[in-house]
Amino acid sequence: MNKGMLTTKLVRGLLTIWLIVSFTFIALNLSGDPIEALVGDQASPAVIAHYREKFGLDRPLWEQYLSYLGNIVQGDFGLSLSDQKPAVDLIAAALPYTLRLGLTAFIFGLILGIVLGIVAALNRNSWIDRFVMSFAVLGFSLPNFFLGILLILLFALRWRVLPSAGADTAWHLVLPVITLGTHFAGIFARFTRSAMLEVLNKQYMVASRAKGAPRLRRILWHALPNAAIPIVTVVGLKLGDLVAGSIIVETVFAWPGIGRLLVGAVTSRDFAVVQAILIMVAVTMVLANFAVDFIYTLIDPRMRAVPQEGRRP
Amino acid sequence: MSRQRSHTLHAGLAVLLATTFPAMAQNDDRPSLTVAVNELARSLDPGENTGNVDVRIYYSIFDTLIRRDFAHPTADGGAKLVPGLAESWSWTTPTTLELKLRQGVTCHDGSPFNANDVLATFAAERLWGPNAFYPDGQAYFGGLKSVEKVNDSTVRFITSEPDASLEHRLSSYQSFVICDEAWTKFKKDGVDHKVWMDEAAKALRWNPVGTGPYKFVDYQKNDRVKLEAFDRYYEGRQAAKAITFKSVPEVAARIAGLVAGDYDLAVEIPPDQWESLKAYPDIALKVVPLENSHIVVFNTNDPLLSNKKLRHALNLAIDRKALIDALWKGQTFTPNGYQLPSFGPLYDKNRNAYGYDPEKARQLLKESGYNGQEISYRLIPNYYLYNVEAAQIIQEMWRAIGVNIRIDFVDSFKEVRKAGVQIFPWSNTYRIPDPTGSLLVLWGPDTDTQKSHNLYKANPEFNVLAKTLYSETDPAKRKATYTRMLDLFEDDMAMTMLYNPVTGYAMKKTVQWQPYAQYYMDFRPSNLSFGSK
Repeated sequence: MNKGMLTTKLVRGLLTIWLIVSFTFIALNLSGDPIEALVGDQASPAVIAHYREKFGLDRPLWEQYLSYLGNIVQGDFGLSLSDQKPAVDLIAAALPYTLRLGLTAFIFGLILGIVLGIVAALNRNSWIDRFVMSFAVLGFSLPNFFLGILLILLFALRWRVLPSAGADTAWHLVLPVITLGTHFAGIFARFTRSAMLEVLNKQYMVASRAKGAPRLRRILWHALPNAAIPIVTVVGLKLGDLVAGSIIVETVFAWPGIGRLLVGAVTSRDFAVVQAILIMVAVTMVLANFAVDFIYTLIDPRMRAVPQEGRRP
Repeated sequence: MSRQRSHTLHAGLAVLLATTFPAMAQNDDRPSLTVAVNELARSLDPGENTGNVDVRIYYSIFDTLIRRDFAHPTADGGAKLVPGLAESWSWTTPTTLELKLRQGVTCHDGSPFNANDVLATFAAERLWGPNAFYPDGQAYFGGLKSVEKVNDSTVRFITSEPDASLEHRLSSYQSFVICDEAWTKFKKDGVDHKVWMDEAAKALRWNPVGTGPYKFVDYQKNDRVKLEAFDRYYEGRQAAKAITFKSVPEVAARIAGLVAGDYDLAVEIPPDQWESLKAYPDIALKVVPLENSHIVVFNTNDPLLSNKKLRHALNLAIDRKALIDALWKGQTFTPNGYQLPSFGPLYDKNRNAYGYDPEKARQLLKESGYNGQEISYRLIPNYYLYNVEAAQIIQEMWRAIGVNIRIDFVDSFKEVRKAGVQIFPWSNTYRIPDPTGSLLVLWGPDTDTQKSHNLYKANPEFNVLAKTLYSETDPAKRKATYTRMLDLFEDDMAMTMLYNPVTGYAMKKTVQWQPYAQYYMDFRPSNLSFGSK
């Protein structure tokens, strides 16, 4: 990636974040009064006015917006209305939980998905292929809340072998990881299968076979690296999607991570927290895209070639 | 050292410890209680948050001067008040309530409880003055003139005029006593009270210091609030050594966790789950109608609904029994007037209000001159449990007598009450078992319902009587006044009752605990014990 491309991507990333901040600000302000959510249905206008003044919500909207942007630039994401703590502190407390669940589920889904995708591709059109692909379709089609509650009913309620909710021990991780990881595995399995099928028919695969390379070496050494580019793209996108993907799972399993924080903040219209989380998700997505672009240059030599005038890269 | 000898030494040490520190040894035997809640408290600051999710937790951390004995109402059904942090109380003049404070009570920070804690809690600047830090306090204690310390164990509440329900308010919301030292250490000379109180409230909202049976230990947002037994509590030793409130938003997960043994008690079990719980022999379900009524408001200032006959027709066309059977499995009731049995001497059990008479409704509708205009029924979907279902059923009941209702979904009460509002559902909480804590604070002459929201044009006599009711202390005169007020209020028909909602608690049968008609969860030794199934 040259300097020009890097600058373009950086500017594009910052523009994306600014658009998200502005859109979120407008959408949340249009969606209702956060003070009403804070004080309930029987509060008097005097009480509502007291809190509006306390949190600076009595100022004109444009003034609130400019002040919010100014504060963000200085690293101040505002105070949570319901907790009266800096929004960043709340995110910092919840993030380790989301990373523990999200990354475990992601790695579980990634390994399972790639292995299943390879197995399906190598057994194309056989019953194994059909079985694996049925699992993959089921994995990414089943809504998380359905699979989650099904697993709770089976493993916690009927067989009583795993805890139903919470984040107290390593055992609490099992059901949410299976729920979230199954979704990831389904997606990765399908992409891996199609990427592998495309590569397996290439001439260099025939050549490597003709040279007598063992099957495992042909798959891991020749096929998989060439199939990796589309897989890395999806992995990058899904990695950025970790927080968003964990919202339902965290709610079902009472996992105290970013997803729960976001749901609670949206319900109570806790603007500062919602905005800070969305900015975090946006930054994660932008960084994931950067990382994908960078990994491309590592795994695909063609991406490292600098375009020169009059020559195709 | 041989293994046998080591065991002997350990056993000897255990006996020594048990003899020397009996309380410590006993502590280990007590079970911990884990309660799965739909949502944790928003803070443990009793001045700031009085929602159901908040009070259920801090009821174990704080005490009130006077307590309401929910488990033992008086013979006439009225709420019974018993000593709390005050051992006794009496009116020494028509406007002076003198309270003798309990001796030997200790705050969670180790400081002794005395009159200074009461003064800090009920300070005008904190709770009820014109510029009070907590804006809700005025609704409860705006009639106070001063709170004075007579000596360390005696305080006086002086009101601007006779106040018939002050004792009830001292047992309710906004009356939880905070400990003086933890609060006033933030006070700085020359600093505005709102500034230092803001600092104090922020520091204490998740580090509360009270005198209650359980002491705050730990909070993790969206996960848990943990309390531990405070065995220096004036009522004695607690049944549980610790209570953990776990946040479990999904009903299915709360039930599964309870059945699987992860939790001992689960709250907010809705009626559609009650039947399925019967399948588990080790689980008990307790349901309780709340001291809160779901009502439907008619805007009497709306051009169409200003027609009283139309409002009465709408009232008579609602089959509340059908609603209760369909939505609440028949487990609740419709109050017979804006009153509850806990109002005691004011309660009129023979009152016949909010009945169902479709024939009379049709007749009144005809007399009203209503000719099929569309009427808006605005609501925030699922703001109250079953409010959408109730709206759809009521829409059909009204359609059956010939009224054309359009349901409009909005997302806030600001939207509900904006121009053009005609009908909307609302919930009214009986903050204390007296009209001055319910009807008068939500529908009385100085309320926003009459003034800023402009929804209720009351009969002038109703407003005059409301002022009388606040200061009238003679029980017979109060009852006569309130009966007349109810007649006028029902004739005005600015609202109609639907039912009191029900909340369900599921628990292991080994947990002996009773829920109350308020959202307080009482884990004091008198209301919690553990036994065999």
